[in-house]
Amino acid sequence: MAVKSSASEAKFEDGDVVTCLIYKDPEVEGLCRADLLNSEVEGFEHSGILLGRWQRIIKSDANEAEDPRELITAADDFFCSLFEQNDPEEAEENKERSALKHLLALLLERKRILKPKGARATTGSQTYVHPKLQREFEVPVILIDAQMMRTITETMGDIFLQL
Amino acid sequence: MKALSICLRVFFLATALCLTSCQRKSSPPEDLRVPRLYVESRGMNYGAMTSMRLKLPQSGAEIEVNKEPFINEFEIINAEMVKVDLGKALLLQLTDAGARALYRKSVTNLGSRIVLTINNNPAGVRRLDGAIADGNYFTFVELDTKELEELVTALKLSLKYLQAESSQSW
Repeated sequence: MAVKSSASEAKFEDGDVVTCLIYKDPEVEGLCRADLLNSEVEGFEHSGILLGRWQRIIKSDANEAEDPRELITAADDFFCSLFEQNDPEEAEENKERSALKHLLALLLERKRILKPKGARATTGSQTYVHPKLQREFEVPVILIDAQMMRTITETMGDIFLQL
Repeated sequence: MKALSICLRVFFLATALCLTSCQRKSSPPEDLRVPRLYVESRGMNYGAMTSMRLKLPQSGAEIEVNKEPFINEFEIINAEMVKVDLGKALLLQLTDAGARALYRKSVTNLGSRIVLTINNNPAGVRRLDGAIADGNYFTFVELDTKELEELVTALKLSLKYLQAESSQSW
């Protein structure tokens, strides 16, 4: 987890609300992540396609275990943000975005945040219902290889490894 | 009148006995085997309250796993011994809920290892190398063929009993 801002390099303080942006830069292999103070998000320019975002609150004790509820909320926010696809550069569904949707849907299904609708699909796509938001999400069910999994856990390990 | 009273008593007693015998649970098999599947814990969890270390009996491999099994004995409906290219393996067939849990885990924990325990003793390990969607879990166990045959026989009886217990408790 980053301890300083990706934009200003300012050290995060206890209680700071930090926004984590995940984007795909075509020049870089894997996924890119930027941890920013809320005040820096507007002015931050990234290359490539923004995939999603979530927020976390900085704790003074870095060794303190993450609150599971906060992790679930972060994963939930991140999942929803993956569907805010309004980047004109992204003509077709991005492979990384699809993989993140699929992985997060499975994690949130286990946490009972999302409910699969209809028959459980293992290919194609699966509709999930978010009862709290009263919204349906169409999630692509794709094959995730070990390399993709490694890329995702390296970038977003604080969500994927602890949830 | 007295005869009628006796007849009624006998009738109620017989009914009560019949009901009791119907409700009586079957006794567990002598060699009850309880299979569970644990997933390797990820990240730096050493010494954490949520994980524990399991040691395989023959290979001696030590694996840190999440304390909570992701598949328990009530989510396994059958066991079979199967022959594969590398030898004889154990096949566990799961319920619908168990199959979904296995699918979720096989996708979200790709690359992690799964440890099979029998009565809380580690018996086999397998690395997750892809999504498992059909609810059939294959694993090699650290037992010779004869022991594996005995295990499968005992598992079949145990799982049948556990499924019956599970349906009665609902």
